[in-house]
Amino acid sequence: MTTTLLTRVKSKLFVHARRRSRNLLEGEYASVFHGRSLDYDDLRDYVPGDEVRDIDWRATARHQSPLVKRYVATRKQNLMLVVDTGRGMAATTRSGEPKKSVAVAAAGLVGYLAQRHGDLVGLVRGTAGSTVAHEMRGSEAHLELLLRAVDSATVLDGDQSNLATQLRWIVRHVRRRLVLLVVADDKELDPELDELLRRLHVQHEILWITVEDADPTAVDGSRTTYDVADTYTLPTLVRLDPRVRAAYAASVRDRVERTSALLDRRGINHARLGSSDEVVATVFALLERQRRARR
Amino acid sequence: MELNGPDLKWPGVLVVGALLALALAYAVYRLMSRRQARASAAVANSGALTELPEYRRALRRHRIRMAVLAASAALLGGAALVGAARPLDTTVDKPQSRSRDIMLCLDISGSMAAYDATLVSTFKTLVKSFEGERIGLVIFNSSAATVFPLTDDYDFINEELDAAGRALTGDPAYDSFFAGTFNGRGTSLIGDGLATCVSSFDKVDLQRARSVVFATDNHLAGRPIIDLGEAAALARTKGVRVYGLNPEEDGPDQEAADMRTIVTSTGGRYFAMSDQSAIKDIVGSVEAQEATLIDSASRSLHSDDPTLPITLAGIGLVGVIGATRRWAS
Repeated sequence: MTTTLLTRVKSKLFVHARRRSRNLLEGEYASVFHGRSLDYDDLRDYVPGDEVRDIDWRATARHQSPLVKRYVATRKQNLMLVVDTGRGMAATTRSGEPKKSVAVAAAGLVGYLAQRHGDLVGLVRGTAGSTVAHEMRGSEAHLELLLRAVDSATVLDGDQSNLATQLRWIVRHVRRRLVLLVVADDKELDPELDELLRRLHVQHEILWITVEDADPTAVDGSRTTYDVADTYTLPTLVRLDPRVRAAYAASVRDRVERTSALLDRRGINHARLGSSDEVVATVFALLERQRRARR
Repeated sequence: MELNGPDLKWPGVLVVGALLALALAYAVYRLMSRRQARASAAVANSGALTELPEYRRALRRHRIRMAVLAASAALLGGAALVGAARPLDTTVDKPQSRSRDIMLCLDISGSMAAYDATLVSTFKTLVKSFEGERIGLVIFNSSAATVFPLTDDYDFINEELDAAGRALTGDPAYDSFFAGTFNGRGTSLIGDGLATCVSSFDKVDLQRARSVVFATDNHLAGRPIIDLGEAAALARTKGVRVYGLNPEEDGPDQEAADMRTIVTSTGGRYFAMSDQSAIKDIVGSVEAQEATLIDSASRSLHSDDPTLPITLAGIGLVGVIGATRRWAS
């Protein structure tokens, strides 16, 4: 691998969103997760997304543009990336990339923002059968390691996916308060998961990113489509049937609505991702919503 | 005549065709699986799709369609192969002239002229009662002439008897019917007539049931070469039974009595024409004789019989077209 995974994440951030947006994202992250103290650090330019109450009005009056006060963080945030690495995540997503690329891009972006902010980033990954936890550190190299672990663990012949296993692990093993970034497979959330979320939400702050599945009724007819779970090949003529397509679209719509309703009920901010190109915008919107929700 | 199952002219075509079909199927399978390996998309959680009732319905339709397509293609291919192998309808024809020879012997002398037409129709009734027997007709006056020799072609027999009937009712168009019956001395040479009839049987060295239905009034008017007694003796030596059929216009006279004696001496029977049961009795006693089969050499007749394969291939083709057609949905 010539480029590291983190480089890709960064390049996406730079190329796709330009420097101003990067600041914007950082500001967004900071305003969401910045643990405030009374120790004033320095001033910096205001970027949209910053807390209005952080604006130093006096300094702003002397200066031409709004300035924001920065404080020395009293404590570091702990970001835990919770990534499903079951074989479901090795399948294709809406854009045609493997879902794990989108997962790595999303987890990498949030992890990078956290690391830049001086927070610690850890990882809990696993399948239906096993869970692996990586320790929390604040270095870029560590983040790269975590992303590589996700990337290499997610394979087509791996175990099946079940995020409940990882969430249960966290319920059992984590005492600290964390920020959880959950990168989930595109599945119906069952009552067991709902219960886990209820318990986790009490203790932690949760951001939920669902990596969308490719629509089998939209995959081109020249390609055969099979399910990674059991390698069952979907008959091309059947999956391309317009009536089946319409019914599937309706059922997906219903499922997304149900999932959204469930997460909303639990007060969990969530977003859906179907392409690594959408990661920056979606994560930004997610953080934005998170900031507003915390008020 | 017996019918065998359909034979094939070129059975090798089946083998070659089946092998080719197998090779083709394998090649297609390889091609498809290679294509599939090259361009396949892995998706997750397709259960959300496969559990939809619409999907299940479409899948069921798809499977039925595929099954129909496969069956039709197999039917089409198989039928085409069988057709290409040229099925033959083999008929083993074993011509057997069953049974018995019956010579109808009709006196057409002037004294009989009034009765001949009736006798011919009696013969026709008689012929109807037989099946498979060979029948011939000899007419005689001063000399005897064979109208048709022994044959089992009943259409022909009936035709000839119709013609005889018309000739005997005086139709001038049929005058030639009587040709060859006036070559003797006098008329109504009954002994000569019977002798001719008796001699008309073929395959003399074969043991067969031979009968003569001898229709005459036994009124001799001339000098026969062979008298009736000698003719009867000839019949006896040849094992021919003579059944007498006498119009008896003068009632049971001396001639009738003579005739009865002579006829009976050959093992046959005597009937007056008025006797209602005459025909039934003649048929009965002829059939009572043991029938002998004449076996001819059996021969096989081959004819192309593509009807079934073509029909099946047509059905298969309809199925293939129906299953591959994109029905408006």
